[in-house]
Amino acid sequence: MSSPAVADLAGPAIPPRTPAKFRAGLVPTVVALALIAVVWEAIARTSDGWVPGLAAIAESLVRILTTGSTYGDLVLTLRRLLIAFVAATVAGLAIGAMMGFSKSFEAFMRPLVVIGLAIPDPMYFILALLLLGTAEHVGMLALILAVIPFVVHGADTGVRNRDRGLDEMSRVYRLPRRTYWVDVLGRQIAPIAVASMRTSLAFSWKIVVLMEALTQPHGIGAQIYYAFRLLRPDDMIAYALIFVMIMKIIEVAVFAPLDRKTGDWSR
Amino acid sequence: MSPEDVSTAVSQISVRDVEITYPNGAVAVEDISLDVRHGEFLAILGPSGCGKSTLLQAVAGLLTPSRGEISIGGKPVTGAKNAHLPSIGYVFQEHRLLPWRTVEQNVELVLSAGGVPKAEWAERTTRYLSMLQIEHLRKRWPMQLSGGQRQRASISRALALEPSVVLMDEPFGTLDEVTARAMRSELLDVWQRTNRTFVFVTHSIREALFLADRVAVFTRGPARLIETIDIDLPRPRDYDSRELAALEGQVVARVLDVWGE
Repeated sequence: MSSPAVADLAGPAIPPRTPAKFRAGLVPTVVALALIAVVWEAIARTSDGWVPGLAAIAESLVRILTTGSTYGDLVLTLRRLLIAFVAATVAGLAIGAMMGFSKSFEAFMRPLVVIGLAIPDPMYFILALLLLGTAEHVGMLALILAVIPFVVHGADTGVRNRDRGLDEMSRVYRLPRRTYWVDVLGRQIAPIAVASMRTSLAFSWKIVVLMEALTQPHGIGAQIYYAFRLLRPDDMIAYALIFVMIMKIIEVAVFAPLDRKTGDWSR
Repeated sequence: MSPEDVSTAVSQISVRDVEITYPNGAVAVEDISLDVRHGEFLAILGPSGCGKSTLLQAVAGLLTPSRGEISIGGKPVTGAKNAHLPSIGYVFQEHRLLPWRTVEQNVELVLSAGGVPKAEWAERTTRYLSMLQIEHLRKRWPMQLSGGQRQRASISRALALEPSVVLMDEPFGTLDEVTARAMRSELLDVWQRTNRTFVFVTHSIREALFLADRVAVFTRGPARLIETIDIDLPRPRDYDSRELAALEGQVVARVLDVWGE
């Protein structure tokens, strides 16, 4: 201990994301996507004509992307998604954190969360439609209610499993309340909060499309349902592909940097 | 030494008729009275799970005794408002550093909370990290350090506050024996240089005898005080000396009946 190794004298070494590492992740992705495309095309060619081939999907994709009203639908859906995501994340983190701190609140909320997680998602919208009507905010309310249990679950687990040793340390050294919430508890929960937001976004987007398909005349979900009624599987797949790409862009642009920021000390 | 330290130079920590019960009603500590003198190195020795750590937590104000009084430097710990409590350095069995703060930031966080003027932070941090020989690691994350280095950082944090007492709860319990030995010798060196009151909880008889001026021996839980032993061995002591081994043998013989199953 008294003679530290030479390596110890260097500063913190956080390896940057190297191009080689990036390529190592890229190759399997490309291979997987190519495989899916090949298998899909093979099925399309051997089918009785109901499965659209890659060419038909590409053609449909171009047509949808060059249609002006697509962007209106897209903006509408993304706006709904954003509202549901923010509302469900904020409410879910708050409820989950309160459950993590209070045993009695946890006992009170737990059955509600379990039921919320178990209810099939279409139920929220069908019930809301029947009970409250077809107005857009009814669908939004049902959407937010459907997503909240997923976020609550993550936040509750995170706060409950916090390091109680650090709580004790904070009390012995009388860390101010603000320091405790930001530097001690906040940093422990940050990775879980980011994971919860991811879950929230993933569910929001799946469910927003479902909500639109079931209850709304406009939006990507409504368009997918419209394509279904016109028996146009190529259009349905094209709409889904557009949405998948947007989600992937959000993932790379927002969540990957957040992950790096909240976890840089553990690398 | 501040004036109030001088006035209570005889007894820096005073534990009077203390009983501590767990929330489930079980008694952890039963009727213990103990005084720690200013500048003394006191070891509390007891079998694992006997309640000695619980007593240490009560001294730190982390939990309130069901009966009795604890005071540090003449100020009562029990029931006191945070602002009026004397400052305490605490070294836990685990390092309990914030993993997302560098070693330096971990020390500064405590200095800030302890009301130390910002102008003094750099000097204090440097002094105590150097004393524990980890000054060169000040910009590192705790996860990049070895177990021994983390515990050095934890001890630096406790000392940097320049508290009236330093409480240690089996701080070397999770370290390998070679590291623990080096740390024990250095801890004595640091204790002598800082002239502070140290209370060190351990279940290792030899560790207690090697480190302390006095050893308070506890029973199995619920903890009661069996006796306090004055250790007259001259310093610096040798961990492998015949005198220490002989003393250990005597203590083992005395506690065998009380600690045994």
